[in-house]
Amino acid sequence: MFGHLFINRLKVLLKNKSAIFWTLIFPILLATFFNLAFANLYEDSKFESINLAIVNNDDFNNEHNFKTVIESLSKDDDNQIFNTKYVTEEKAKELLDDGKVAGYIIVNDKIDIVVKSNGIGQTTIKYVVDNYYQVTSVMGNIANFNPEALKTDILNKLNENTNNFNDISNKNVDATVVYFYSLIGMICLYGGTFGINAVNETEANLSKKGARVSVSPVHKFKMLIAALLVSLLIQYSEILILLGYLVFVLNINFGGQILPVLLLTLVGALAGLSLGMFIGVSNKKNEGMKMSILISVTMLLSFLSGMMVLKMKYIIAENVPILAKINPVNMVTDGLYSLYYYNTLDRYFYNVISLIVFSVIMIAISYVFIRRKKYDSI
Amino acid sequence: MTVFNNYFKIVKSYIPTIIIYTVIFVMISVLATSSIGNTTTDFSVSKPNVAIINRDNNSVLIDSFTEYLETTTNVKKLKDEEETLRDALFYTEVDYILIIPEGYTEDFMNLKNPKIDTMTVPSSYGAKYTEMLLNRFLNISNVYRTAGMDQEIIAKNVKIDLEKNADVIMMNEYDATGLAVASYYYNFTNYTFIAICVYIVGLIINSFNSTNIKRRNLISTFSYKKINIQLFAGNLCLALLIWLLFNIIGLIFYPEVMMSSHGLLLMINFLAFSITALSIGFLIGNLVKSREAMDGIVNVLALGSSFICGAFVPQELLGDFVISISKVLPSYWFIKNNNDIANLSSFDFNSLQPIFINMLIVLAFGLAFFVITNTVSKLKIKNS
Repeated sequence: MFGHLFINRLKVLLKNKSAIFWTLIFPILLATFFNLAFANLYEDSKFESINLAIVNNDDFNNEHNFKTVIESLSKDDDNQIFNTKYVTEEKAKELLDDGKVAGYIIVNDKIDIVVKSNGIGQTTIKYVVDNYYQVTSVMGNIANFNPEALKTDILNKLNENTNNFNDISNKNVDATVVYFYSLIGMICLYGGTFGINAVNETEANLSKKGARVSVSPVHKFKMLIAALLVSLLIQYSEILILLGYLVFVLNINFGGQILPVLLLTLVGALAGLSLGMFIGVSNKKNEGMKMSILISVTMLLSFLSGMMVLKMKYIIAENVPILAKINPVNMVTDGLYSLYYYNTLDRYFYNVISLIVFSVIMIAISYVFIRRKKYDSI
Repeated sequence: MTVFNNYFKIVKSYIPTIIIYTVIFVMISVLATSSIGNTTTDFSVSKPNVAIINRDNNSVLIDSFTEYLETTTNVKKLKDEEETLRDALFYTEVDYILIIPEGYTEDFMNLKNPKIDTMTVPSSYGAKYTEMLLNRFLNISNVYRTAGMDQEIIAKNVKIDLEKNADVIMMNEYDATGLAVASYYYNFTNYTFIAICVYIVGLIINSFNSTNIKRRNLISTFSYKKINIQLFAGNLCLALLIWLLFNIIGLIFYPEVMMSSHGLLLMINFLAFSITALSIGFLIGNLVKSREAMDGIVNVLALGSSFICGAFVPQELLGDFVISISKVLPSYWFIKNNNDIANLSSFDFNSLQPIFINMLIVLAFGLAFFVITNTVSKLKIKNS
C-alpha cells in the first residue's frame, strides 16, 4: 500500500516538469552568477597603487628629502604605492575633479594634501606625508638625547621592513565561499514549496484534491508521509545536483569532507520541507499566498545569513544571536562554514542538531493542526 | 479604462501578498544599508579594525602602543578564544589581530627584536595599512631604544612624533560618506525593487493571461495593444507607489543627503530604473505561465543582476569580464549612475550630461522590453 502511494506521488510530482526544471535550474543559474561576480574579487582586493598628483612648483623641488621619498614610492617595482603625475596646480585640480587621482599634494611653506572624499587612497597619501614629518621629528629627538647615535646607521631602521610580526593566520581562506553556502541554505528552504504542495493535496480543507483523497479508505498519515518522503527525495536529489555543480564545475571548496556535507544538506532539506508543511497547514490562505510567504521569509532568512551582504551573518551572530540560532538558512550556512574553516566538528554538529530540532518542532506543530480532523461536509 | 480599473480590482485581491513582499524587501534594504556606516563631512582617515590580545604584563611600552592604536585604528574588543578570533577575521569584523606574547616588553627593551603574532585578512588593504601603522610605531621605538632611551622617554618622544600630522584640505562641500551610503541604498534597490516589482507585476499580469480570460479579452472590441497599454498604466501606478515608498524611507533615514540636489538626482535615476524594472516584470508576466518558473526567474533576475552589476559588491571590484557582460543589463547603468551621482561635485551642464545619458540608456532598455512584450503578445495571438 505504502509503496503504491509513494510511487504514484512520485509520478505526480515528476509530471510537473516546469516545477522540477525551475527548482533545479534556478540555483544553478544563481551559483553561476555568484561565481562570475566573485571570480575577480579575491584577486582585486590586493593592494593597488594609488593615483596621486603633485604640484610641480619650486617649493616642491627645493624640498629634496620629500621629493626623494615620493620618487622612491612611485618607482614601478614591488613596493610601488603611488602612480604619480607631476603637474601644475590647475591640472591637479582638474585631475581631482575628474576623479583621475585620489588627491594631490601641494608644497608651500608646509605640505598640504587636497582631497575630495575619504578613502583608502587618501588615507595612504596622508600616511606618507605624516611619515615624512615624523621621521624629521625623530631625528630632532635623537639629536637632543644622544647626538652621537645619529652618526651610526640607526635611522635606517625606521624604513627597514624589520620583521616585527609573525603571521599565524590561515592563509588560504576565501570568504566568498559563504555566499555559496548560504545559497545552499536558501535552496534547502525553497524545498518548502514541495511541503506546501504535499499538505495542500492531502488535507481535505485545503483543496478539492485533498477532499477527494480524504474520503478514500487510506490512512491520512500514510498518505501524508508518502507525499513528504517523495518531496524529500526529489528535493534532496536536486540539492545533490547543485552540490555536484558547485564542486565539479565551479570548484567551490567545501573543506574536503563529503559525508558531513551530505548529512547537513539532508537535514537542511528536511528543515525546509517541514517549514513548508507548517506554512501549509497553519492557515487557510490559497496556495499562491503560502508560496509567497515561504519565499519572502526564505529571502529574509538568507539575507540574514549573509547571502547579499557577507558581513550581515556576523553582525546578526554578534548582536542578535538568538536570530542566528533559530534561522535554518544560517544553520546550513554556518555548518558548511565550520566544515570549511575549522578542523573540529563540534560546531558542525551543533548546527546539524539545531536543524533536526527545528524540523521536529515544525512537524510537531503541523501535527497538532492536522490530527483528528473529520468533516461531515466541506 | 475598463482594463485599468479591473487591474486594480485584481491588485486588491493580492494586497496581503503585496504587503508581505514589500515589507520584507524594504526591511532587507534598510538593514543592508545600515550595516555600511555613519556619515561625516570632515576628512577622516579610513581606520582599519584591529584587535589586540595582550598576553604580556602591562608596561609603559605596551600602554603607549595601545594608546597609539586607539588613535589610529578602531580597536575592537575580542575575547582571547581561538574561535572568536577566527570568526571575526573571516567576516572581516577585524582586519588585523595582534597577539602580544609573554615577555614582549622585556625582549623589546633588550633589543632582541621580539615578534608579535598576527592574524590577518589575507592581502586586504586594511591589513596592509595596519602593518604600516604598526611598523611605524615599533620602528621608531626601536630606534629610540637603540639610541639608549628608557621606556618612559620612548613613550614620551613617540607621542610627540606621532602627533606630527599633515594637513588635509577637503575640497568637497558635500557629505561624501553620506552620499556613498545613500547611493548604496539605491544600488540595493536593484535587488529589492526588481524582486518586488517583477514578482507582483508578474502575478497580476498572469491572471489576465489565463487561457479563458485571454480569449474573452481578445474577442472584445479592444485591440491587444490598447489592453497592453492600459495594463502597463495600471502597473505604472503600482510601481510608482513602491517607488515613492522607497524614497520616503530614504528620506527618513538619510534626510540631509536626500533633501539635496544629489538626492533629487538619485530619486530621478531610481524613477527611470523603476519604469524599466516594471517593463521587465511586464514582459515576464506575459511570457511565463507557471508559478514555479516565476519564482525562479524573479530570483535569478534580481539576485543575479545585483551580483554581476555591482549592487552588493562595488562595481570597481568586479572583473573586466563581468563588467562587459553586465553592460547588457539596465541594472549596470542604473548602479553606475548612482555611483556617478554620488561623486558629482558640480551641477553644470557638462557634469550632468553623462548622468542623463545613463538614465536614457536605462529607459531605452525599458522601451525595448515594452516593444518585445507587444511583439510577444502579437505572436501569441497569431499562434492561438
